Amino acid sequence: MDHITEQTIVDLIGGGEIAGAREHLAACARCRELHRQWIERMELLRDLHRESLDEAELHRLRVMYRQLGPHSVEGFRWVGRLVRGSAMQPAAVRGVVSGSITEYEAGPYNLLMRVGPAGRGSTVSVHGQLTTTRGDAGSGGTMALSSTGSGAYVCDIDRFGEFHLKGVSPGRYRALLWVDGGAIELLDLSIGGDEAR
Amino acid sequence: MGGSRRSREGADPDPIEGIVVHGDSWGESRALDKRLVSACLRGDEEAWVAVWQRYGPLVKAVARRAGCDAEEARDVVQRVALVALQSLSSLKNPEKLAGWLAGVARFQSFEVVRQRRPTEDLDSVGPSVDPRADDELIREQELALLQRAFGQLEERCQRLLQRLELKEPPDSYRDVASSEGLSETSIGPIRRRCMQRLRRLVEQLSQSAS
Repeated sequence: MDHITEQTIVDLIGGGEIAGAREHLAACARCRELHRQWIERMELLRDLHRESLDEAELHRLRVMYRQLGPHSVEGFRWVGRLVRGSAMQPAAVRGVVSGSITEYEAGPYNLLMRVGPAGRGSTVSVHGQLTTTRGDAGSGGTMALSSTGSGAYVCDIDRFGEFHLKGVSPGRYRALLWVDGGAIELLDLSIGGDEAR
Repeated sequence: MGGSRRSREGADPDPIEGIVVHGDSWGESRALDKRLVSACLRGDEEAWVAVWQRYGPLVKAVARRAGCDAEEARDVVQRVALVALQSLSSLKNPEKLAGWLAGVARFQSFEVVRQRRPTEDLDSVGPSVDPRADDELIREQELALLQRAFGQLEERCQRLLQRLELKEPPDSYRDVASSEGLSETSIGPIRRRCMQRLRRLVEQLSQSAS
C-alpha cells in the first residue's frame, strides 16, 4: 500500500481535500497515527495560544529580576528590611518563625507570620499578613521563600494582605515580599522544625 | 544541521510569494535564546522581560496541562522565574531555553498540584501530574518545539493560522480576507501553505533537537 505523505496529511488538516486521502486514512493505521500526531500538535498550539502574561505578571517578573538578578540591589527602591521587634535597622533580621505568631515591622509595614503543620510528610505551611502600620492591607503583591537547598515557594499576597504557602520544607530561607513597587526582605529565616510532622 | 539548512535555502517545493520564514535562518531562534540568556546574566532587564513574553505562555500551557488552574498557572510562572534566576548562569545549553523552561514548569506544576491536594494520594491526581510520565515530558518538549516553529513563521502566516486554526471558534474566510486585504478564494491555499511551512519548520527543529 502506498502511504500518503505527511504533506498531504497536513494539507487535510489545513482544510484541503485530496482525492482518496481520507479513504486511505480510514484504512491505514500508520497514516492514521501520523494524522493523530498532527491533530495533537495543533491542540498543543491551541493550548499555547490560549495563554498569555498580563501587565501585572510582567511587572512582578521585572521586580523579581531587580531583586534577584545580577544587579539586584542597585537602583532599586527598598521599602524596608524587616527587623524583628519594633525598630527598623539597616541590617537584615536573623529570626526564627515558629508555631506562635511572629511579628515584624519594616518601615511603614507590619508583617505577621505563622508556621503550621499542614503539609505533606515533613513539610509545613506558612501563613502571614502584611499590612501598613495604619492597618491597611495595601494592594496585594507577591511573597517568595527561596533557598538554595529547598528551591523556591511563591504565592500572591491578596488584597487583604494575606498569603499562604503549603508544602514548605523546613529549612533556612530568604523571604521576599514585593509590594507597592518595592520589596521587603528577611534573610536567614529558619522555618519549621518543631512544627513539622 | 547542515542538511536542514540546505533544505531551507535550496529550492522550496512550494514557494509562497510574500510569505517567508521569519529571521535569516531557522537556527536564529536558538541563537536568540542564547543571546537573551547572556543579556539576562549581564543585568539587562528588557531581555528578562523578553524571555517571559516569549516563553511565559509556554510555561502556563505546561502548567495547565499538568492540572493547574489559571491562578496556579500564574504561580507556576513565578516559581519558574525564581528557578531561572538561580540557574541561568549554570545553564549548559542556553540555546535550548524553551525546553528547559518547559521541564522546570512541569516540575513546579507538580509541586503546586501536590500542595493543593495535601491528603490526596498521588495516583488519584492522575498521570498528567506525575513528573515521571514520559508521554507528558515528550509533549512538553513538543510544546516548546511547536512554539519555536510557530514563532518562526512570517507574521502574516502566524495571524492567519491563529485566526483559522487556533482560535475557537475560527474566524470566517470572509473576515480574514477582508482584514488581510486578500481575496476570499486565496485564503484556503494560503492557509494550507502556511501549514506546510509549519510542518517543514517542525521537521527541521526536530532534526536539530535529535
